Amino acid sequence: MSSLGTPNSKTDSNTNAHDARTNDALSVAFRRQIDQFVLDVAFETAGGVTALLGPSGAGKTLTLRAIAGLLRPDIGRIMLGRVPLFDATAHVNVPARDRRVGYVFQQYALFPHLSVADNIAYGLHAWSREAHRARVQEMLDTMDLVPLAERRPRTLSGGQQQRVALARALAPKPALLLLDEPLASLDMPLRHKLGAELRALHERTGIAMVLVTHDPDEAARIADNVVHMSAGHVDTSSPGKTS
Amino acid sequence: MMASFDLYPLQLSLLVASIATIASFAIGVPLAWVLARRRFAGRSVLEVLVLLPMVLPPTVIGYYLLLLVGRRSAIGGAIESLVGAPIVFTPAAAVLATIVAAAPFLVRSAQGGFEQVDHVFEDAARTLGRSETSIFLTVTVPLAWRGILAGTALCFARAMGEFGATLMLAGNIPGRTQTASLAVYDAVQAGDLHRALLLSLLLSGMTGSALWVLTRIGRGSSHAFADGAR
Repeated sequence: MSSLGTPNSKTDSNTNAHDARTNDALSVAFRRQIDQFVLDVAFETAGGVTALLGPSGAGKTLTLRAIAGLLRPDIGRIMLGRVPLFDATAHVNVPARDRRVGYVFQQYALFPHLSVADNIAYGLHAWSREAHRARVQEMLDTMDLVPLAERRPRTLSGGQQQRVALARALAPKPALLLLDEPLASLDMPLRHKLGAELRALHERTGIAMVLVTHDPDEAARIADNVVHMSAGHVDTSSPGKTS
Repeated sequence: MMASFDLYPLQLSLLVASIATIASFAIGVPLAWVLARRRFAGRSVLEVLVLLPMVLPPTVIGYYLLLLVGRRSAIGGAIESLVGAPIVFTPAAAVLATIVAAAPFLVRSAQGGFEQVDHVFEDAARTLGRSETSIFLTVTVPLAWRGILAGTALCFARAMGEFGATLMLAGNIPGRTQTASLAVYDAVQAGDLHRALLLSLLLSGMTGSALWVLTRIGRGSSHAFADGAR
């Protein structure tokens, strides 16, 4: 693995940005080779909403998976706030279950054998019975899912499924929320509406988000920062809309 | 006539097949998961070993088992000194022979069930803070349930009909190791066609109803899990 070299220091964590770093700031710099494909990614965010923008095959989803702990980099470091999630040289690799990183999958990956309420409750296994029940009710209320609580995911529309996936990922109070093409499987009018709702969700909860999209307009509408990716690399990190 | 009809072979078949199916489930489900989800050296060898009893003549399986746990083998000797009696020609031997002959059907079907479960559900469970064991029990097994259940039904059916391996390892001792399938053979050999017919019909009825119940359960739950296998 040493032949792969060190990751490019496109970001320098020792600059003055360090002081401004909050608990949900994300610092990503890693490399992972999968057959002939080399994923070599480096970017930093200061919380807020970040879009990973690029064509399919750019490595956006793999980058999300590495942040979530579902893909192990060969070398590099991933920091969430001051907490190293992965650090090859320090032999740190926090398992996905301990990262406190929520993930909304592209096709939502709702558990088909569980009701909406049980899907939302799935990440709350360690909570006390009372807190568990209250949190599920709270998520059902805020995501407008109360009438659907006992339904199975396959009986829901795409927009409803997305709200369940968001509620499930947010229920355990993650420090960071990852969204893989959250709007891709929806039709056009719904995309605008749910894009705005995602933005509103961020304003309301303050949770840092990293979302993957191949649509530049969507990235500009929803995100504070846009990270451009192609062929496994970060092109430039240009500011999108300011919040 | 009916008053003197000996039900012991049917009771023994049911008992042996039930114990063998439960044991096959306990061993076979984790084994199927390992074969479906893990990549390791010797995996294909293990897969062949598991499937071999499906295609080998049952007499060969029985012969191998005799070599393995017979009175002159190391394992057989250890069991004999531990329990005080040899395992061969006992109902326990019938259970062992039946497990080896029937479990591959469960493993094969359950492995197919596990392979159809999309990894994304397990990944989702990981990001929600669950341990691997918890994910296996709450996500993987429920989504692979149809394959596991179909395999269990096949395993039980195969166990009820076990003949050759049981004959080799447990013998054909009336009132001790003579299962229904062996008793049918004996009855035909002895020219007692009435007993052979009655045993055959009862064996078919019992196995058939067990399969019917298991497939009914499978159909009932297939609605809930329809999206799981894709």
